[in-house]
Amino acid sequence: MRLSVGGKILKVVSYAFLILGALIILFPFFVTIITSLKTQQESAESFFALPSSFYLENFKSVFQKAGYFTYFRNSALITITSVVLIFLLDPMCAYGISRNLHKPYFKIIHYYLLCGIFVPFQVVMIPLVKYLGTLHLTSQLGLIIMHVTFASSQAIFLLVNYIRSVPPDLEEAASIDGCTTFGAYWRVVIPLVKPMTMTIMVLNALWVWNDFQMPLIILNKSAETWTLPLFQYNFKSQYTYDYNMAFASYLVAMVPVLIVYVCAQKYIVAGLTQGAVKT
Amino acid sequence: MKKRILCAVLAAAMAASVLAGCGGDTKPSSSAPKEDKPASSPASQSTPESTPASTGEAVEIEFVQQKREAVDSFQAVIDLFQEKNPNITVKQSVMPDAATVLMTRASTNEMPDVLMHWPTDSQYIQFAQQGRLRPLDDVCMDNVLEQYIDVLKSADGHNYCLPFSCNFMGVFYDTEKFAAAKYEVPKTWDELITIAKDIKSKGEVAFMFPDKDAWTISQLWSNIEGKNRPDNAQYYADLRSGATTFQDDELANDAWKKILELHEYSQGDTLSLGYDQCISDFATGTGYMFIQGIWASASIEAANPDKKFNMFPMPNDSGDIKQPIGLDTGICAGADSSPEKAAAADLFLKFMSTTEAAQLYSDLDHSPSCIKGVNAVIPQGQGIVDILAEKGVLSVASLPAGFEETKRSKIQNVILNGDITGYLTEMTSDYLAACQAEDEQTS
Amino acid sequence: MSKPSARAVASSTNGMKRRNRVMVLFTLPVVLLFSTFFTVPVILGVYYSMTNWTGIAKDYKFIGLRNYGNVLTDKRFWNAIFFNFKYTICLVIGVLVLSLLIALAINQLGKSSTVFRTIYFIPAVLSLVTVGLIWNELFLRAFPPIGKALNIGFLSTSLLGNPATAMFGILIVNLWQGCATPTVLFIAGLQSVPKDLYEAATIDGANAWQKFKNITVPFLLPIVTMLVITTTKGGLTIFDYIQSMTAGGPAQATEAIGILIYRHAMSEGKFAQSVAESMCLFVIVAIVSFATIKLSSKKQVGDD
Repeated sequence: MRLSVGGKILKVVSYAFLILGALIILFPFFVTIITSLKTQQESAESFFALPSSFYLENFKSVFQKAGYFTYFRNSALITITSVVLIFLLDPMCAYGISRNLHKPYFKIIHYYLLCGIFVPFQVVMIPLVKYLGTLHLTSQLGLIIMHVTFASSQAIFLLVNYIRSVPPDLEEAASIDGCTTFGAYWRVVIPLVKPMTMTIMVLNALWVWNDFQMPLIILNKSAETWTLPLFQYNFKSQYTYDYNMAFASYLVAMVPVLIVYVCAQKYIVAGLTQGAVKT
Repeated sequence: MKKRILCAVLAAAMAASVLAGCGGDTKPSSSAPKEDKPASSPASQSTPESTPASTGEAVEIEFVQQKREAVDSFQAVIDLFQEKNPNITVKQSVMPDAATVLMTRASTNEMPDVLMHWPTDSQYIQFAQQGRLRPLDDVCMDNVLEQYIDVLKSADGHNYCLPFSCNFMGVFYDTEKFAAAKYEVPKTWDELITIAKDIKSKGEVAFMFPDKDAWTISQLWSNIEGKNRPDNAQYYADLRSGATTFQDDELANDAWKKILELHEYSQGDTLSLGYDQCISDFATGTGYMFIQGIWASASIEAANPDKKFNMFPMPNDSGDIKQPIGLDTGICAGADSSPEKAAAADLFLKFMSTTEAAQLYSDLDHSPSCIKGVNAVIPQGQGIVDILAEKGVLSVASLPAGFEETKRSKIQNVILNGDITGYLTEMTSDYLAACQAEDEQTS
Repeated sequence: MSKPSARAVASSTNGMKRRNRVMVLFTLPVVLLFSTFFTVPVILGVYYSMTNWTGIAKDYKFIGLRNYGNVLTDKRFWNAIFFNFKYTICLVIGVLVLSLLIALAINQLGKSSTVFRTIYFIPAVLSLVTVGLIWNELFLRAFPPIGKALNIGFLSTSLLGNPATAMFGILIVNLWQGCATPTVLFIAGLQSVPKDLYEAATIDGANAWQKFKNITVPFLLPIVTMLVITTTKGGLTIFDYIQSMTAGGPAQATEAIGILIYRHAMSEGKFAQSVAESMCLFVIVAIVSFATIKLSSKKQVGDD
């Protein structure tokens, strides 16, 4: 009722713009779904036509030809372990740094860790593999370690800035009440920095889950250790002459993360934004 | 003296195998080579039972295999091997981006026990030069056709690779469409172009080109040029010494003119179509012809089992052609295996080199073999198999490391701008640079 | 009075020391991890870049800075750098403008925005490789028919098949996915602006643009800074999209520096040179990021 004419027009334009954008976002999914339900012959006749019947052979082949569930389990295991480690290590380190930035040691390691942000992965790719090989870490364990290491620079950068904006009064009060430094950290600081920790965990969970290059070069020994993106790429290159089947494999590879997103959408988006925007 | 006799025997064996292949009748022909075998290589049969690995404990060896289309064919061979050697398990693994993976494995001294590589690939050549592979001279070379042994000898005189299967290039054509339009298989270049013109005039696509994958253009180049110069070892030597250049070479220029001419009858917008996409399109009915290697036939068949297609040799101007035969897969052994695994790997390689194993693979993969006594039955390449005995010429050029890749990275330019001389001139300098880098590396 | 306080001081300095030690301990796991698995490989990389190692050879020798000389005189390297800069500028502008527009539009709608918010974030949860592969097929099979039907010239052939347009094909995909997170961040930023500021401005007679410029933008600036840095790095090191869509083609038109490094290392046998290239990339990314941070921190002084 209170809207002016200008406001109404703005609203209509916004809607039109957003609906168009949403169609563009959803279009690839639409194509993926219809294509995966068609035979090649059907697709050759018309790429856009809806599937004439519910053709499930493509999915059957995907599940038959590759140990999908093994890869799913590997991906889940690697993602969860990495994110938990990131949660355990990075806020602690960032807390130490941000409360002592005036001291030379902490200042130096702060800058030292930040350097990591600027180093592209390609720089360390090959030396890294050779080095991990000599340490016998070209395994899932090595991959987890590398994810945690590569996540730390950005996490420290975000967390240090965030913790600095939280006044130290509460932890000091907790110390005076007889808490150990760790106790004060765990009971007071962790809840305080939760928004930023959430942001970091969401970002890294998405990155680790979807990462391709690192698992490709580190998990280079046995297919049983592979993650979903590797399975998907491998499947694609093995059967691309049949793109309907390839599309089925894309869909199958996307489904877990889409399910998690739909179920936990509120938390993911909230987690992502809480830390980024100080209120 | 000895060598010459062997050659004669082998040539006979090969001729027999090829001829037998023409018959198309598997049963009688597969019995023929069995009679050959003891004569040509009495040693090949004796060893398997007496090797240390066969005596006891279970061993598992890893077989990194990078030819995706051939996973099932290799697995069949592996299954047969494991049946005969129950204590050895061969684990075939197919990696995404195998070249990357193998490189990282090499850098950490963790080469797989057995690996499949392309004998002319520059990574394989580097592996062999740098001691990443075990020499196989005394392991499994007895039953290999002689002509493949010498060309694959590394600079140090050893063989690091069991040449296993071969390939050839040609022109796939849709037999139903050809029959419907009453086209004859073209024998000369002009006949090919006449057909293409006719197809174009009907508003249809004569040739499918997957130019998005630059390697296919490179293959097309050798496909056309190879008809006039199947054995190009001397040519590359001349290029190296500066006696000739790509841009001055008549055959190279001629081949490129023909490539561009063929593109006038393409599906259009060729640079946006990838190899896999092209196979899928050709299999589902677009286009009359698809210029490719025989390796594509399995994928075309898989994409559409009802597709009727065959292959004819790429013609040249005169119609008097040579048909180059290239090496496809080779099997190597990594240098980092423990003694037990190495022994098991040797057994496996030995088995791979038997006529029985190679025949099994050839039947499934539809490829000619490098192993004595194998009859290749290649339904979709019959048009070429028929002429191999008479016109087949082994074509193996080993180029300096990286040159082929550099060549491919620039090759799409010619399709875009038609500047043949510019591209060939650049290739000459890239080739010389790669040769120089190789010389420095080895000195 | 003095006695207990002295004791208190003593115990508190003890406590301080202990606390300090614990703080150092807090940082140790990450510092050790980072040193062992990041710094050491980087140093190894610097060393390899001064050898003639092929990545495969068992031995190699030290050749000093020759690889760097080769890199800096290589036309392909500079072409790649040029591509990356062109691409990064388009990407940063595209991400900022698009996601800000989407965020503003969603923010307009109030309650009914949840559906759009959900949809616009979906691309962020997918892997780059999957997205690249799907779009690769779309560019070939979906868009040309649409382009032909609507008679749009540049759409009637695949964007990826033409050197002049291939970059934009990749850019479209990158924006499709890359705007998701920035949009969510911008929405949060917009919602963090206190409503009474707008009301006060309205009473003062400010128009919509003035309100946007003077109230909204300052609140969004920190987000913009962060996005510029992360997007710039993403643009300069782009790899996955290109590898899964054009692999650098057609005719090297999309050969980004990441692709060049990968090719040199993996297939063209120039491993040591590729490490030198990646070191140059490191220097470039560091300079650009540092400059962005400097520039934006100057701006932020104003609003603090």
